[in-house]
Order: sequence, then C-alpha cells, then structure tokens
Amino acid sequence: MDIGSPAVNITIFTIFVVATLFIVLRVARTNQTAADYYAGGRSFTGQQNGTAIAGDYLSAASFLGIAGAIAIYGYDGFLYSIGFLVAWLVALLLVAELLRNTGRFTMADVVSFRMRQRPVRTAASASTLAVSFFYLLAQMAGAGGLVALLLGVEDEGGQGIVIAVVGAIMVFYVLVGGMKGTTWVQIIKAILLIAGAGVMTVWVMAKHNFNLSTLLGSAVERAGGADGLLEPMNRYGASGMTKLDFISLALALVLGTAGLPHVLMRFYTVPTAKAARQSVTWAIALIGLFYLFTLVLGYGAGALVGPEEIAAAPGGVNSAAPLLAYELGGTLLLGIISAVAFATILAVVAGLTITASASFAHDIYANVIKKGELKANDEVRVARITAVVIGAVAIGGGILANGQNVAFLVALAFAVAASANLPVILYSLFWKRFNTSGAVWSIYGGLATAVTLIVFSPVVSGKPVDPATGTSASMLQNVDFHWFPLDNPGLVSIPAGFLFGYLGTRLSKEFNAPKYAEMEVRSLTGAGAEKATPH
Amino acid sequence: MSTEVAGNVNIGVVLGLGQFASTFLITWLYIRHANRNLDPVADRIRDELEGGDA
Repeated sequence: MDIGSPAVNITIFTIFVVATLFIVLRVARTNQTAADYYAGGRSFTGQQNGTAIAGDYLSAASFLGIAGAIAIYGYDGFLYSIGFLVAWLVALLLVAELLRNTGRFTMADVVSFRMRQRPVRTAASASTLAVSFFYLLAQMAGAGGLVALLLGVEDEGGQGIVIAVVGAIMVFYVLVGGMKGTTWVQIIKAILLIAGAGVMTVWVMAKHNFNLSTLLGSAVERAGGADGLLEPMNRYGASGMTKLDFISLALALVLGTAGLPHVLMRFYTVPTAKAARQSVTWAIALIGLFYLFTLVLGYGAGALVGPEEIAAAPGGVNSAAPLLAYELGGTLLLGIISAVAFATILAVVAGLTITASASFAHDIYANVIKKGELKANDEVRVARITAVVIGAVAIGGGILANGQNVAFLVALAFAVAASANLPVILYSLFWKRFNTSGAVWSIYGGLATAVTLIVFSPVVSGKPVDPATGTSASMLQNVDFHWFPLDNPGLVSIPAGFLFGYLGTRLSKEFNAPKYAEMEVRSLTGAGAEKATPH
Repeated sequence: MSTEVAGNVNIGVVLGLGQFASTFLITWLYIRHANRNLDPVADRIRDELEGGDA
C-alpha cells in the first residue's frame, strides 16, 4: 500500500532526534555523581516527573496496539486501557511515596533495606533485568514492524539497519544524558504523543458532530452492523477458558504496573515523597486523558478507515492509528504521528536501558561484587558500560525477533513484574515479619512460575493452525508442548509469588525488629531519606 | 451491558468511562487526604528526628 511519504516521515523524525539531542547535550553537563546519573540529581518537579512517567508508560504498544484493538475488536480493546489506567492506583496508594523515602536508585534498595544485602539484591536485580529484557525486546522487535509500515522499508536487512540506528541513538542518549537526559526525552515525547492524539481526537469528533453516539454508530455501520463492537467479550468471550484468560491478563496489567522497574526508578528523580505523589497524580491525569483519546481514535479508525482495510494493511492491527492520521490530515499528519510513534519506542527503550544498567551497576557490581567498597565514579562507569552492553543485546535481539509475534513479551514483562516484583515490594513495606528468605523465595518463585507457565502456554506452541494463513498464532510452528491452558500466566503466577514469599518467610527464623522500625519510620515520614543534590 | 442509554452509548460504555471517573475521583480524594492529614504529621516527626541528628 502506498500511503504517505517516507521522506516526510523521516524528516519529521530527524527533527525530533536533533531537538532532543540538543537538550540531552545541554543537561548532560551536570552529570557527575551517581545520584545525577541514576536519578537526575533528584531535582525534577512532580509535574515534570509525572509527564516523564506518562512518556515511559505510554509505549508504542499502548498507542498503536490499543487504538488498533478498539478499531477491530471494539470494547475489548477499551478494556486494555481501563486496566492500564486503574493500575496506577496501586502505585499511588501503596508504592510511590514509601519507595521514594526508603530507597536510593533501584527497587533492590527498598527490598534489601532490612535484609541480608547480597542474596536479596542479586534476586531483585535478576527480576529487574528479566522484566527489562522482555520489555526491551518487545519494543525493539515492534520497531521492525513499524519501520515497514512508516518508512516503506520492506526487506529484513533494511529493517535491521533501522533497528540498529534507533538502538544506537538510544544508547547515546543514555550514556551522555543519564537519567536527566532520558527524562527530558520522555517529557518531550509524552507532550508530542498526547498532543498528537488530542488533535486527532478532536478531528474525529468534529467529523461526528462531537457526538460519541454518532461515532459509535458509524463504527458499527462500517463494520457491517456488528453490534458486538460495543459490547464486552467480543474477543475474549468465546469460551470459559478465554474469559479466564482475560481475567489473568487484567490481573497482570493491574498488578504489574507498580512492579515495573523503569516506572519504579522514576520515583527517585524527585526530591521528596510529596513530589512522588504529585508525579503519580500527573501521570494518572495524562495517562487517563490519553486512553480516553484512544477510545475515540480506535472507533474513529473503525468508522473512517474500516476494520477490513486496517487488518489488510502492512502492520495489521498496529496500523489503525497511522491510517486514521492519513485519512484525516494526509501525508503531513501521518508523518507527525509516525515520528511520534518512533519517538515513543526510542524513549521507552532509553528508560528501560538506564533502569537495567542502574540495577546491574548499583546492585550487582557495587553491592554484591564490590560489597559497597568502591569509588562513586566507578559505579557510574560500570553503569555506562552496562548500558552499551544492554543496548547491543537489545539491538541484536530486536533484529532476531523482528517479525515474530511479540505481544506475549509485553504480557510476560507485566506478568513477571506482578509475580516477582510486586509481592516482594508490598511484603517488605508492609509485613513486619518478612525476611531475607521470604524475599528470595518470593522473587525467584514468582519469576520461575511466570516464565515456566509462559513457555508451556499456547502463545509459545500449540495454537491451532489458521486455515487462511496456514500458520499457527503461536511463536513456534509445527510443535505442541503446551499444557498450561491460558495465554497469560498472571492468574496462577501472581498468587504463587505471594505464596512463595509467605512460605519462605515462615521457614526462616530471621527477623530484624530494629531495622523494621527504622524502615517504617523512614518510609512514612522521609526521615533519613535521600535528598536532592545541590547544583 | 448492551442496553442502550443514549443513542448508541450503552451501559458497557458508561461503565467503562465510569472506571476513568472513579480512578480520577479516588486519586483526588487520596491527594486531598494526604496533603491535609498525613503530610503535617509526617513532616513534624521527620523534623523531630532529623533535628536531633543535626
């Protein structure tokens, strides 16, 4: 299909890269200490950080994926946005402020606060790296599909080169800009994404007399009178098992968000717990607004482009939003939306890279290998080297996974975050008796359960072959070793993570009462918490 | 869920949008509670503790 102009798309994207590069270089001058590199000197305001959180969270999957899912499946696509938004209440009410007060740079800081450092830090870092890796791979592999759609690069080699270039730019941002540079990239991207979606939303509504009912009506009409578009369970209602799968997915989304390491790390970039609270408030407002836009964009794409045209386009479901942009504003709007979608991948990948590199350098290298005895500059140096290694792995993995069915990677990242990270965070903040053994059991137990169930689930093998395409929807073709019936492991693996944490704690006599008291006071009041670095 | 409320807007859509409204409402209520009731106490204890150290 020939729509839009790759030259226009590339030009607009290049403008974005140059502008953000300029800002990254400007803010990079104050990058000296570990607190600068990992946490932007803790000098961001709640508003800035909240916008950056929205930038980190609204990945290409949520922009392109949800708009497409609503266009084709209707209401069930909308349920994704509800899950992604409601999840923030967990972060706001239970995690954000206490985490900010207790830790310094990583999730492991909080979890290991009153435990034996080495085993707990190793475990927390392992699950941080696992979640980051799955999420990173999904983003990079998704970039390949986007390239095909937006830049007209059809052959695998060309897509590989684009993935490598995107990855290299991202690593450069992280190396030079640290958390400060990364945060500004997130902020700019969030504003562009929300503004772009906002303009399209108003445009779609204007075409339907600003009447939601008219819009819904024409979406149903365009789909040939399929009333199911406006009702839940159009996609997930086929059988009891698919309904169960939906519950499992919803659990993973709602409980996974507050365990995503790159989201958790953002809370350290603000000076106080109060600013962390403001960050989440802003993030909720922006993310909520954005998902309301996607509702209009999804049904708008259904009404104005049509579900069959979307499904037939290169990129399939993911092409709904770009196609709608072309339908509304022609080449220029498509170019802008394409560039924003690209910027989205770039920014999310940068956020994940700095999180993973911080976790390795701060938890594994500085505290486990060197036992805390090293110069501050050493740690940042290791973090930078790690960022390059992670970038290279992401680029290589992205090229290999290009064209694969990668939706499960995002689901897996959320499921692992909910099963391995959230239980241990909540236990260590709220359960007095919790101890080293419980933390280690909870993390490894949740992680292993989630990964094992995914490997033996239908997303990896054994989905029936679709007669239309001759391929199975599973990742592997022509083999079937699945025994777990659900696509998403959350329904089993999240309770398992909590159960392992409970059992591990009960099986060990260790209990550090004074340290718990210190942690409780510190987490609730901020006494002794890390301050912003003066500049 | 498919009972229509106004035009093509059915109960399902209303409930879905209601989730957004309730999320915003809970956020607002919590922020108000935290700013009014929690922060002053936390700040007082923090000042007492850190004042002692300095």
